[in-house]
Amino acid sequence: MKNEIYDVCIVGSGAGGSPIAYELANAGYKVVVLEKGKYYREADIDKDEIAVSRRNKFIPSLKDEQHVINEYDAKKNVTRYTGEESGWNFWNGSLVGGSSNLMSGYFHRMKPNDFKLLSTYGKIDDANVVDWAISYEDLEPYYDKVERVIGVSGEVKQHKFLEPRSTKDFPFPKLEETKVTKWFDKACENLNIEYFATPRAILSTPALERNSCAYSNFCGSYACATGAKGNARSSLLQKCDAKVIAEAFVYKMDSDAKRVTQVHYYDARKESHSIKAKVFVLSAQAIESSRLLLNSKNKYFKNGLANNSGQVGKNLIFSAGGVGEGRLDVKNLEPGLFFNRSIQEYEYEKDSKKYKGGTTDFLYEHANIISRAIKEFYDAKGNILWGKELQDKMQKSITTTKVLTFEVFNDWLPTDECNVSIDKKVKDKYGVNVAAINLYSHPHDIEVGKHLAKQGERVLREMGARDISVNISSAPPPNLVAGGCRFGNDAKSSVLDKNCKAHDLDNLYVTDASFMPTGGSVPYTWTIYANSFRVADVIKSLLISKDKA
Amino acid sequence: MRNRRNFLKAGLLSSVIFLASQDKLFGATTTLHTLSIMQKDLLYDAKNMPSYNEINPNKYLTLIFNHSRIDDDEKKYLRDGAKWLNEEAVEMYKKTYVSLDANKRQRVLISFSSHEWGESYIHKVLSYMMESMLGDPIYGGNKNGSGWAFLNHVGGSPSPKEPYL
Repeated sequence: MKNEIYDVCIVGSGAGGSPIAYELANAGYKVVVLEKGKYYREADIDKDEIAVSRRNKFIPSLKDEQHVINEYDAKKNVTRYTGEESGWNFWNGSLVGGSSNLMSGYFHRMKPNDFKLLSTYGKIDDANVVDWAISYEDLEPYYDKVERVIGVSGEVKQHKFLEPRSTKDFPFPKLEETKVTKWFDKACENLNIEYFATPRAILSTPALERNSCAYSNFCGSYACATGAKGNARSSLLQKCDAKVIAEAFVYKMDSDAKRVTQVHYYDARKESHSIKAKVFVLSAQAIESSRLLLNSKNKYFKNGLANNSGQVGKNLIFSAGGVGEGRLDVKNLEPGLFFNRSIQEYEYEKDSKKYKGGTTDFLYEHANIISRAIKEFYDAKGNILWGKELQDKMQKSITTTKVLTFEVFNDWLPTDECNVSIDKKVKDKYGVNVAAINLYSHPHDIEVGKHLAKQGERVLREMGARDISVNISSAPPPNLVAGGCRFGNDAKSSVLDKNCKAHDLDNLYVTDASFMPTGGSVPYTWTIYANSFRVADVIKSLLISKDKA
Repeated sequence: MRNRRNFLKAGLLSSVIFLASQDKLFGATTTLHTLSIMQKDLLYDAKNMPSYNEINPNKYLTLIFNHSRIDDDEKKYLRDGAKWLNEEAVEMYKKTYVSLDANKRQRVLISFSSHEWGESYIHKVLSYMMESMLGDPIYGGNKNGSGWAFLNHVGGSPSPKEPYL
């Protein structure tokens, strides 16, 4: 509707934006959500491996939309890659609900020390480690809220690094597990390693007006057809009256000296539209949020919107770590049951010095059968196989063994070199300059990752796994990205205040993972949801007090 | 990589590839015909696997050549590879790949796979065959779930109502 002024306009419909939409719309405010991707509801969702995993249905084609990657090596020499030519893809999920649709839902809270890394573990050379502007205690009520509103299933088990909780246990019982978890538990007990069932943002029973998990065997990378997965669409957007405009790519935000006045977006036909609102919330995922601010220069903000500090795009982080795997001889497994196990070595000592460690999640190799078959194309000498030889290897391997993998999560230290800027040459299909991702991984990240992986390797070995391999590297996982608009109390060294409001603007909030100055050593989604619920309360109070005034 | 200057450029999937060397024409074939024979050869003696007709890989490749998410470089690579395979056959036997008997074609494949570019091309063709054999039957392969049955795999549910093209 022309000239309509919304109370709140949210750019991006994922885990960062949707809690705001849910809370504010349910409080009676007029909310609009702009999402670049299409709107898929449960009835539209299927488990088509070719569409989802081979043809990347849920992310843009790199020919249409890409990034430029400037990679720093250890000596800080830079190599430039364009996404289209290199195939290097940083997209996660362009659809209503964002990449929360496609997550596996491995949900861990950050620990109290994650909020004060600098004061707990001290400075690290060439890294911009700081304490957070809030504490674990500030966020705990919202972690709890996510458990109840998004739906987290699990079983609390005491262990050395269990974070403080305001409730005794998860609101939903843990998901059904494969029998192989018993081997894992025994192996950990033999090795005196503490373990626990991985909490998942998946409903194990029908609840919250949603169905329970159908154990379809196709969860991570796929959207959920039952609504059991705690994605932002099923759990929030479909439960409020916020107006969602899909296929709306926001390319510019306008402002005066103190307030954002409107946003401009292109629809699917590349026609431009504008939205006016009292409050604007940016949650387009870390890289794209910084890109939008940097591309929204005006006479008041010549270096990009909300960028008087020069900090927009700085201190981009990913999750450091890597993966490992081993092969177990096992037949006739129940398809679809989960392997939910985690270990945490959140702190360790080496040479009398305390180090921040991290989390290792164990999971079955993905059910995708095409990619599993392709993995069998080579013999032990590295020769490509076909015909009967390929048939025999593929059949034996896939029908009589199962690959158990583990994923290590540790801090990707923020540095001066790792950041988002705007590439001056490359434009997307809308004619807008793309983000340049300047990539650098601090050597400390790999050191910690390797330390954590040793424990994962020991567990696999104790379980009797063979063909064990580990890959800890500086490769950034595109689905675990944060930073770029870090929050803090000092307007000179941060973009956002402690409530994720831009220091420079009275009505702009950034609520995806951009605000995180350090990343913790867990997947980010639970923290993004929790923080967004926290900011929603701030915005609600603000609007209520303005209404009263 | 060997010199391919003597080989005329092939056009579309069904256009003719002329194979000439030192001014002598050794024959002509099409990309689709070459790939069809090559796909059968990549199933050589694999009696437990779904049959060529059940996998239906050539029809699947036609779909790939018209897919909105497959870029032109990929399509060109698939066409070029068929030409390279024939080139290998001409060099070994002075005949096109498709006109050789099955045993000789296997020898050509073995020689072809010893080049990095040949190995990559076999990997590519096999990968699309796996998509056809193990993707949802709505794409025209994996007839009656024969590919999934071969690997004791339970396909994803819900299955797609239409192919993603």
